[in-house]
Amino acid sequence: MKPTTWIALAAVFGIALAGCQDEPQPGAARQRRIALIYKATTNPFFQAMEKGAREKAAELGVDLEVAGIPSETDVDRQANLVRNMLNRRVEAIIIAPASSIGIVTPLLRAQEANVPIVNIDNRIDTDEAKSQGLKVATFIGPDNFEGAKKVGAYACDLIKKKLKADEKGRVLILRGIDGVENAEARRAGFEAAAKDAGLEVAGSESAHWHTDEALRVTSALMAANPDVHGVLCANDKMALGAIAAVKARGKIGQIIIVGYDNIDLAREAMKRSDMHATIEQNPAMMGALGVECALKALDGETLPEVTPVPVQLIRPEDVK
Amino acid sequence: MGDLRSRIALGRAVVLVVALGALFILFTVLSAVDWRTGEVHWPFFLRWDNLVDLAGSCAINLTLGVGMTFVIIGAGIDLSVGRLVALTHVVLVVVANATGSFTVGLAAGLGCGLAAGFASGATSVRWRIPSFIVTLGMMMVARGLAMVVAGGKSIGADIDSPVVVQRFLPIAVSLVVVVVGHVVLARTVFGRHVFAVGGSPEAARLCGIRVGLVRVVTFLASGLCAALAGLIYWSRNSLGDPLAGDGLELYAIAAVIVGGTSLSGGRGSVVGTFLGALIMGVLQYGLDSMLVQPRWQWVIIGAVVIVTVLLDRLKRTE
Repeated sequence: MKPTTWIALAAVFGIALAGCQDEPQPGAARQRRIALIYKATTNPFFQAMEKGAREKAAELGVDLEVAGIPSETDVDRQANLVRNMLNRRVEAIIIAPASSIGIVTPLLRAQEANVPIVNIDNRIDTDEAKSQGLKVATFIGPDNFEGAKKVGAYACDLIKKKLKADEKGRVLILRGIDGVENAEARRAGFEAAAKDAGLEVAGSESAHWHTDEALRVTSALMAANPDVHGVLCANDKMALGAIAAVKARGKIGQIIIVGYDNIDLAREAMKRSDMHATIEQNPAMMGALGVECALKALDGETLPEVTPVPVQLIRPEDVK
Repeated sequence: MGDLRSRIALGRAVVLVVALGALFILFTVLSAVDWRTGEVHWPFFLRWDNLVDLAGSCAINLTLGVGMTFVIIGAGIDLSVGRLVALTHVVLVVVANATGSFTVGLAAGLGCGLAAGFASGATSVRWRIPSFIVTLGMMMVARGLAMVVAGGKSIGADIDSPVVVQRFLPIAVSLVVVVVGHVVLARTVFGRHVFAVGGSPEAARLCGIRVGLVRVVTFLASGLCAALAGLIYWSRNSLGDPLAGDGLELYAIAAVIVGGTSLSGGRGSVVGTFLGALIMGVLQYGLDSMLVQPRWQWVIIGAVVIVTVLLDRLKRTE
């Protein structure tokens, strides 16, 4: 090898070796440093949450470090982000987990380092946390069951008004990812709403929160059940897929479609009367509350196990 | 060592080591500065904890890359490994949960990886179907089976991996795989046969090499590596996630190619793949720790893959 190459190699290894001696870092923490780790960075819901958190952090003079994974489900990558943040010496972590079970193990590292954990959006599995001894300062999240029941009930009412005398109303449910707490709660909320209204659930399938998958799943379900009256979707992105599927069958406007999250595209769909309702979860408020709670946890305050974020029903008349 | 071939190989290794060193220095420097306040402090990228996490984050790609190196040198390709990571670790978790024994779970996971590798390899060889097609099918089969076995959702492992295992098992497994892979490929008769089969199957057959058998064994190796990557996934996350492993096969192929292995077979090395996987791993981990947005990470990593191969090509034509 050429001499220059040797020098380069020696430099690399020299620095690497020097790195093995752990450094004393003087406590220059005038500003609190808090991490926000989330998922699905392309989802407007989480972008709104990030914005809310950033604004609150700027207002309170907190140094907020933000990182996210592009997908909903890349557990391993999100675990890496947790480790990264700890290596960056953050003092508290706000996390929206990609997996309510899988995030427990990596978070134990934070707990060992005395970094308080504030859980937002998707609740960490309480059994798994208990069995591994993980303590979470608080969970900040909307009541997904109530929200789904609210929008589900609204949809069922609309359907019942349209039904003929002896006709039985039938709905489809598009679920999120099974086993994830918010997906399960929304499914339960939809089912409860349908039951209360006396409607039949003609089909229920997971489309993993994705628009294109929802298009395919809805088409298949409608092929098997051509006479359905409504589609209850566990998020707006899936509702957009359902709209496309219903449009393809030429039934847009006749079938009630509701979603969840109140994203811009869903509001536009409601303006066009393609979609009939959604739920606003106030993600920006959730992000802001996350920063506030992280600060309180850092000051040693005991927080309630759950900090609820109010949800509200959004109807077409609310967006017009 | 004076012959042209080994000089070319050495030249490629130098390019890769320099690239790796450059990335390392870059992230070290970047991590020494607090960009908001302008303060300079000890680079956290070099902290012991961080280096361990960095090595752990490279482990899955390293392990998959070694298996992929065998397959690609044998003039095949294995697209199923990403989804096999999902399938094998879900099998591991489900069986371990059901029997209460981690060893049984591990055996089931490894067996599953080997079986899938054998199925792909044997089908491709016996009926002369390109491995691209067979493993594309296997990728979908594995994806579906992972969902079936897990019951359509993520499942928690009853046997959690302790923190020490979480941190060091990935590194240990991947290093063993790299060393064993290198020795087998470069120092055994079987290794020679893989090169011969990939370089010219007809010539290899005339030399008395059992071409089909060698090919099947390369797929077995790839299946085994996928199962070991599944073990690493379990150790890092204590979770059975049927949606894991999305796109990992492409990362593994990229690591192999950055490492200088020829996609048309017959040429390459495990050492190259090792360096290639480290380059990609350091890059991704470094960008993550600099809080670079994922959308830019795709652009940067893709560009680095192309530039590394380009540098290698320019150096060789010199």
